[in-house]
Amino acid sequence: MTHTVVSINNLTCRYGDFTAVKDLSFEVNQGEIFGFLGPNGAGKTTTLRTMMDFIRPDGGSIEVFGIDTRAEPEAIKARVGFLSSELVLWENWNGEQYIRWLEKVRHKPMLEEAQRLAQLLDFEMKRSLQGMSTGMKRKIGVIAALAHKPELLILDEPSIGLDPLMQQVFEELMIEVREEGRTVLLSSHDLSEVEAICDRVAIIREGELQTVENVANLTRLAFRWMNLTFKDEAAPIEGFDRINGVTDISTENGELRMRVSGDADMDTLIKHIAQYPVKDLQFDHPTLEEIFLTYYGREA
Amino acid sequence: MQPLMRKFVRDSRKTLIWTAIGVGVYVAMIMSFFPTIAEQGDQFNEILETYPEEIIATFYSGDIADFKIDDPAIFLQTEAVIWIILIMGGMITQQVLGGTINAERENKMDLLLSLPVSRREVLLGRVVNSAVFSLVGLTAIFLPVVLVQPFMESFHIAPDKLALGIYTGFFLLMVQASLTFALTSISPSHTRWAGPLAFTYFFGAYLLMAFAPSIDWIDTISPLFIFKYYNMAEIINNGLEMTDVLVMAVVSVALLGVAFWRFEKKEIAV
Ligand SMILES: Nc1ncnc2c1ncn2[C@@H]1O[C@H](COP(=O)(O)OP(=O)(O)OP(=O)(O)O)[C@@H](O)[C@H]1O
Ligand SMILES: [Mg+2]
Repeated sequence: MTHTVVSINNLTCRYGDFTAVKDLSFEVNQGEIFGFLGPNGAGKTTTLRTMMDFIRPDGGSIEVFGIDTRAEPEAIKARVGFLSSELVLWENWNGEQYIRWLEKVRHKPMLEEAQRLAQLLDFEMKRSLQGMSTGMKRKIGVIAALAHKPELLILDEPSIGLDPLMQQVFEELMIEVREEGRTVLLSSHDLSEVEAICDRVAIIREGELQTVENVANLTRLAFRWMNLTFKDEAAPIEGFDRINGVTDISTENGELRMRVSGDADMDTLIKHIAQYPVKDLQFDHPTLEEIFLTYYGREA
Repeated sequence: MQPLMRKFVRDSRKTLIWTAIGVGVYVAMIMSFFPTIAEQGDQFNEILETYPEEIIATFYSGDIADFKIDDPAIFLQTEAVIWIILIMGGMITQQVLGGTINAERENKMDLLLSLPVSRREVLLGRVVNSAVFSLVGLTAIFLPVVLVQPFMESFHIAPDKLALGIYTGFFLLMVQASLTFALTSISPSHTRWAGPLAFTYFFGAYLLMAFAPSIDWIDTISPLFIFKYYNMAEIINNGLEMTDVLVMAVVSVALLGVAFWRFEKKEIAV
């Protein structure tokens, strides 16, 4: 039986006359890593801040652990670790002092876990937070959100500022959280990040839910742009256009560019390419917008 | 609750300590001028009688007929207390803004409210911080006077009267703090009027008070100014007017009521 941890029901949020979130509904189940994906200004932060009762719904409601966010926000926050996308810290402290203070506010031991996380994330707990780089500050934000072992993590663009190595550590930490049966809801506008760890994603655009999908399905729908350059002149388009799953072929400045779908006939494609003297081969990930279009193209 | 309060007080402890030291040194220094003034009291009072009433009213809000610069309480009020109250009022206003609406704008309120603490607790912590600041500042006036006056023949105010006179200023400072809390809770953080309005009220009320004796319409609206309800020298010389204290206490509690009620409903950093 799946157990619902977050349930967003017909949520609408307005800023003055502007509607930032429109009639949004989705659920997050216990033990999953749920991605909340959308381009800039889609309404992700608005939704997450409403979950934390910083702002209030203009319509609909949110329940976390079956508790309405308007009714008992403190009861929810005691069980949630939150990381803001615009994290600002009290800079007169160092990491350890901050965590010790959080222990007192939360009435939970945190320091030992925080030290373990700090080691993994390569963060110095005794260094003053003042003058720390953006990424360093994000690390203590992640540590503070995780160290009390909350049942639910609400992370607004957790990987901003993390370098690729730290990004990987972060992903491993999320998987560890899931293995312990805890739940993660994280927002992002980067599909590849979400692909790497999430089980399901909700895609939001201009305040409206586009789809809730298993990541596996989304990836199947996804495609890549393949860019080829050759030692001599570019290979002719003819021949490529007969391969299954290859479309939108063009040449520009001696570069051959084509769209390769997730279920393309790769074997034939590679063998076809091999007939020509290849100088370089590159893949571009599709943008979110392109994914949306593909998604709707298939649906229609 | 306590970790929150301790954090707020701790965060402002440097300002607190240096303000207290500054106030203490200033009061002790001003007192050292008193023997000269007391010796030539008649001459000073004669000169001061030639001053326009408005000028006297800028540093003495009481009955100008009672104004005698060689009276220890009046001397202390006009030369030190009024200015210190003005400075502290400005600082408290700034502190309240920093702890509320500015914290929202800087996204620091999100950090606090993502913890299992209620908005009521956060605001209460801030109010306690303002109260601590007021009391420490007033003590920095009180202590030097008590400590220095045994060494001065001409200067004597009974410590109990002095305490009553000085610490009643707490109510004035808390009215200003409460007003600022109320304004910051009412106004969305993207608007910019809460701070300017709080400062304008405080310093404007002080400046307008000066014209109350000579301009009728200002005199008519003068009950709206907090400085009307507190004058340390009058409390020491003529006793405490309970209605003044009551007005300040009631207004302060009412404004705090508004602040707590609106903060509960407020959308943070919007
Ligand atoms: N305080 C505010 N006042 C007015 N409009 C706002 C406010 N905050 C956000 N908005 C608007 O609401 C919309 C949704 O913003 P939101 O911050 O939720 O987007 P987001 O999905 O988090 O975007 P990003 O990826 O850039 O963080 C945007 O169009 C934004 O301009
Ligand atoms: Mg955002």
